[in-house]
Amino acid sequence: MSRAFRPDDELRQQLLEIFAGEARDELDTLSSGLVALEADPQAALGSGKVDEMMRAAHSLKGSARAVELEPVDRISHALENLLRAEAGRTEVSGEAADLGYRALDAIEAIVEAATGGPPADVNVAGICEELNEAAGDDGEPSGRGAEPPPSAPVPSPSPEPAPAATPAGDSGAHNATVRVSVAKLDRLVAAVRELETARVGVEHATGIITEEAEAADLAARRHDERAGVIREITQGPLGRLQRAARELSDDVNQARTVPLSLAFDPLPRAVRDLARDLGREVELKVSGREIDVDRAVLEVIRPALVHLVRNAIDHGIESPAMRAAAGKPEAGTLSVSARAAGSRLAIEVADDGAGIDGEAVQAKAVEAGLVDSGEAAQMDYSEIVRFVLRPAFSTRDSVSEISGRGVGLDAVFEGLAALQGSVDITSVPGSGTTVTLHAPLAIAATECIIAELGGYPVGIVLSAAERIVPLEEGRPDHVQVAGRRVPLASEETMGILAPAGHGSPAFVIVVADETRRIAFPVEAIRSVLRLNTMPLPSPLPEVELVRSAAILPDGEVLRIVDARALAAELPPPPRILLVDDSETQLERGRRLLVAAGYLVETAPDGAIALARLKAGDVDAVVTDFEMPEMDGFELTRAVRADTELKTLPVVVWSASGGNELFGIASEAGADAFFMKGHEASEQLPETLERLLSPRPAP
Amino acid sequence: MSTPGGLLELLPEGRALRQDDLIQIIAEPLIAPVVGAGECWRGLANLRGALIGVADLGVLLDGYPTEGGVMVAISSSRGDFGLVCEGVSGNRDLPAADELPDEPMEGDPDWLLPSPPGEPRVIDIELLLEDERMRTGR
Repeated sequence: MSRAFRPDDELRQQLLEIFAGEARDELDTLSSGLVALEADPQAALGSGKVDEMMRAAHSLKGSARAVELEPVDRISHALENLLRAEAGRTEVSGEAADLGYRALDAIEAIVEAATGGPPADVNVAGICEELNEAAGDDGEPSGRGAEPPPSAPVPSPSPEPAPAATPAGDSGAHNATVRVSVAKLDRLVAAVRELETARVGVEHATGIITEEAEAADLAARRHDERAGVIREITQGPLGRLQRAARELSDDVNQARTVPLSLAFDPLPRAVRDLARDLGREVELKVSGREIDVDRAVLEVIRPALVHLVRNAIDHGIESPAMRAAAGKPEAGTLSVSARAAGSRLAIEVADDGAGIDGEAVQAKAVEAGLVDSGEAAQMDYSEIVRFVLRPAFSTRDSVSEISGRGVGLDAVFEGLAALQGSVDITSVPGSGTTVTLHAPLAIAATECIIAELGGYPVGIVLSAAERIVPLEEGRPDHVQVAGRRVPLASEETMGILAPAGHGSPAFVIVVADETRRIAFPVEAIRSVLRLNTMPLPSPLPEVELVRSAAILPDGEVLRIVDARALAAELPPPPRILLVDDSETQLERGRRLLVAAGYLVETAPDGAIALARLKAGDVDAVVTDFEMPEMDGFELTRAVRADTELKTLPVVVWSASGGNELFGIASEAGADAFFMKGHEASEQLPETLERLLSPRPAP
Repeated sequence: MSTPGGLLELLPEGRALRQDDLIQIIAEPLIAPVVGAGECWRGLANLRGALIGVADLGVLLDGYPTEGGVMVAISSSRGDFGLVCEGVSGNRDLPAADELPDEPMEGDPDWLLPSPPGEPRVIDIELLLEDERMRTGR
């Protein structure tokens, strides 16, 4: 007679930890599914979303049983029944959706409690009864034979805890997955790195043996035969070792990547719940969830996004009545969009709410001792809003349950900094706030340019390098790249990497952070390699210029230069406000100006642009002519009439041309006028550079 | 009388490490310089496929960098690291606790433990890591 497997306490605790991770993924699937089901039941059914949810509930039930977490087993079973019932209906009631969310919250609380969290106050029997009632079910206990749709039989009761039920479709070995901790993967990566170093050593030794043997055999005139034997003995196994090491390295690195959807999928639920609690109407737009990122990046991004989304609804998006009074649609828009460029990831969280309350932030900053009142009075709005990125900053008078906890954006910032990422924030009073998270896509494997300085290898992450340019003799202080002046890194910076001095640089690597370009001189370029990079090891103190390093295949240490720290030598580039009511033109202009090295902000009409300009920290305006609310000429006149803004360079660009418009632009006080198109592409950056002089060029 | 365990004597004479702290001695370490970490930190080295920071005992003791020398790789509660010194001269027993003087020697850093006359001063690795120069680079 077989006995049910009963894990001892230690093993059960380990299994619970694994289960908690799995439960989180299943709960995300269920949560995003409920949002979709509530929004459009027909579409959710048609897309197989409900089946996916039933499979998630079924998996949760089976896994909960394996760790003897009976309350989760029971709730998951009842939830699965409800989903099965909903699958046959054409509409989903708000009550059913609420019940589903409550079930998910209950499961989350129970799992947290089981893994060392606070005790869960959950009425399991009550929730199950409500779920079963909503499903029209009699509330039978879950059985071991229950299977997910489409051919799911009614579960049969089982008196004993049973082994985890394997959902249909997941039973094949080809679909099997196993959870591995990041720490374990890191150890695997280190082992692969040692294997790679050993491989290069063997390769080197084999080369010497082969050469020696060939030389000896040549002397003995028996070269061909014996050298061939040696080659066969050494090259065959070596080749296999090379291939195996490379494949192993690739697979281990691949094992660390996960889709961003794991961070994006909890957002619809968070938005729905918070909007409902605060009486807001919010439309969430999400893009880029399919992008793959390193698991370590996801671990930072995931809580950060939930926090930012909560912040946007709690502090940003106004109530429907306030929005209507401000002439905005009653429903606010919150967009979370991710884009990958090279090996970098940028995630933008943008709302069209009230923007950051500069006065409240300023008062709080003074109160918290971050700045004295005299200094604060001198700061412009864009500087003030950056205080929200400082540790333990919150403008709420009392700690709220939502986002006024004083823990949040600063934690986001620190988490990203540890990954060589960063956070940017911009806000326009009355128009909204945008927070952009920058992070690497991959931590474990990064493509690096390997150069040489002072006889030592030095690396630049490939995605931060724009081009490599031969350097003329005589150590000029800048190079010309695509018609633009790019300054060289200082001798002081180079001294950090080559303290004993260096030879004449033969090349520069043009390095760019998000906004600036700098040329890094090197003596030689060795190669481009995909390497496992590591942060500098403790107890070595932090070094801004070198935040990470790698071990080259031959065992040499590669110091990797931090592009942001390198570019920090330079003053920040001018900030341009681009104003246009056409999204296409805004994007086109933004690309043109970013490529020319400017920081670019955008506004859809003159009124919003003027509000942004009054907030400060904009160096020039490029504006369209025909726009709603306030056109480009009205904006120009308003700028010239404002005592603070009157000297600001203004460039008008328009789809229409002609002397008449040119005359109106000049009369309004514009400094230059361009037709959109080829002329602007060629001359706009040049004109801005001229208008912004004597500021240093970007 | 000696306690169990032993010491690794370093050059210049009069300094020693506990053998329990020692991982490996590397005769000609290849150290990639990282200046910004502070004067006592020489840079980074590869220890069996892992990165370690490398400090210079000469700078810590006398303010002058060691020329040539060897690197002793050391384990500590804050991670492994390397210490460059002029060389190593051999092993000896750890002095017994009752042979140690009661007071630290005047003018020496905390991390150089007191020793009986004629015995080498033992470097306490955990105290060494608390040295401001090691901790902050300043």
